[in-house]
Order: sequence, then structure tokens, then C-alpha cells
Amino acid sequence: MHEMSIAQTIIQTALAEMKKHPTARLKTVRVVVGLQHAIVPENLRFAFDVLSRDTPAEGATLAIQTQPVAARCRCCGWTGAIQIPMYACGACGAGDMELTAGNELYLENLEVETDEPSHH
Amino acid sequence: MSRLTIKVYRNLMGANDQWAGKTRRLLKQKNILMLNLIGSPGAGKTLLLERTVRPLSRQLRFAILEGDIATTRDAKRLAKLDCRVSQLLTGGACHLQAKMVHYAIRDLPLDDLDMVIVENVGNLVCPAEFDIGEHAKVAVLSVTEGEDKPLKYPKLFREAQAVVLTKIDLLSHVPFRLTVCLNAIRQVNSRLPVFPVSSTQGKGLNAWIRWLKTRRDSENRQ
Repeated sequence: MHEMSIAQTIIQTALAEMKKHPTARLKTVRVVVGLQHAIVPENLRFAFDVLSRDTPAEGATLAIQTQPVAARCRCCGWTGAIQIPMYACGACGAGDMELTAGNELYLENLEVETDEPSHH
Repeated sequence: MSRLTIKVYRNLMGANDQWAGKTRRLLKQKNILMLNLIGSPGAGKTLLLERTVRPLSRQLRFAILEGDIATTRDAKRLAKLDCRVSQLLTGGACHLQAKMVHYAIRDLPLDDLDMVIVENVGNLVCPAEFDIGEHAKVAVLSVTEGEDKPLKYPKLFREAQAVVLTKIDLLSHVPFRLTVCLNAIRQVNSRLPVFPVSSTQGKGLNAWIRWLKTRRDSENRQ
């Protein structure tokens, strides 16, 4: 249940950002989660919903974009997506793989609604 | 009314990692090696600690940070060793986080220490996610848990720099094939050294202790 502490950080980060936009209403929080993390999206969403109650983030949607794990083979140089838990090269089969993607865990952006007319 | 997108791009582990970085800098300054022992409840982490610290306590000065959800049972048990023991109670949380560990480290007599070993909360999942400022995570896996665990909990075995495979004295009683487990570990992390031990019978501990001392020496030289 480390999703709880990650959800707490998501909310704190989002609310800190929202302070710069006092008239805006938070609609969507978009996070990127690499599949190398053992994070269960349903658990993260549940934790977000519970912990955001009575804050300006209450009711906002947590959009989770997952990032597949990719790695580079230290033996033959092949780079590509790998199927965890097998950290094996897709070309030569060697196991000595350096991760190039999948460790991401960040808040990408916030979608907000404002009463100001659109500039577009 | 209009909708707009605010770009943020903020690492969600950022705050934790900052505390971890602070701890790492402090340890470097004081020339201390810190290990983070991670394994499921009952894997034999505490007994391994006892068997590790006792033979080394004349050469190296240890402190143990004992992470638990509740009770000070393990800390009391370890207090019999010739080393400093601090209990970290998470009060329900399934893992230690860097800030909590940092405060505990700051309270230690750092000038009189060579090595800190953190026994994380018994759990194969969550502790693997959090950097607490250690130099190396060490996975502790017992043969009674099953040979497939490295594949089922790959994150820990990717993050770890060594595996201690405990309770090998029970191998003849459980359907655990050592070669299958070693293969599983290699599939997840081909570079990982594995130390099969029996803490109760004192078997295999020398190789593990040698690794520990080598780690400490290489950290010292940097």
C-alpha cells in the first residue's frame, strides 16, 4: 500500500501548483508511472480519491499513463521493450540489461477550468 | 469558461530522494556504509543481523535501525549485541521512508560508527520502491517462501545489490530447488551475487560477511 504515500505526494504537488492559479478549478491530474514500479493504478486512484477529500483536489480525476519497461543490452547493444520479470535481451538473449525506461514516476500536468474566457 | 493545461513535470519521489541524498552525503562525510535489508516477514532478517554483527563487532562498529510497524521486540532482541540499536516504528506504514531514516541517522553517534544496517519493514513490495539513502539494498529470501519469488517480486531483485538466501538447512524439507531459484534471480538481475546461508547452523555466513567487508572497503576508497 505504498500507493497511499505516493497519492499523498501527488495531491501535495498538485495543490502547491494550484496555489499559483487561485481562480482555477482542478479537473484532472495526469501522472506517468513506469511499469518498473509496483504501483497498482486502481489502488493509486482509490488512495487519491480518499486523501483528496475536503481539499481543492476533491473530485478531480487522476489520469494514469503507464510507461512500459525498456532496456539496453550490455552485450550486443540492442534496445527495446522487455517483458518483466524477464530482463532478457530481445536479440541475443543475454540477461545483462540496463533499464532505459520504466522507472518514471512524475506528475506531468494538471488540467484546470477557469472562468476567464479562452484566449483561443 | 475555459480549460487549460498546466505543465508540472515534477518527480513524485523527489522529496523522498532529497532526504535520501542528505543521508547519503552525511554518511559519506562520516565514512559509514549503510545497507538496507529487505525481505518478507519471517524471512530471517533479524537472525541474519545477529549472526552478521556478532562476529564483526570487534572489527567494525555497527548501528542497527530496526523498522517495524509495531512493537520493539526485534530491537530488544538486538540490544543484546554489542552495537547501537534504534527502533523505527512506522505505525502501520508498510515501508520506511527517507525522512524518517534521516532523523534516526542524525541521532546516532556517527563519529563512532563504521556501518549502519537498516532492517526494513517485512515486505517484498513497498520497501523496494523507496531510496532511504543506503549504499546497497540487500534482499533476504528464505527457502520456505518458494523458488519463484524473484520473478514475482522483480522490483526488489532489480534494485538489490546482493541476495541472502536464508534457511538452507531446511532445503530437504521443502519443495525448493536451489537451481530454479538461482535461475529466477539471474533472469531478473544477472549481476546479483547470491549468498545461501543457514543462520541457525552458521553455514555460508563467511561469504556474505566477506562481501559486506569488501563493500565497506570499496566505499571507503571512494
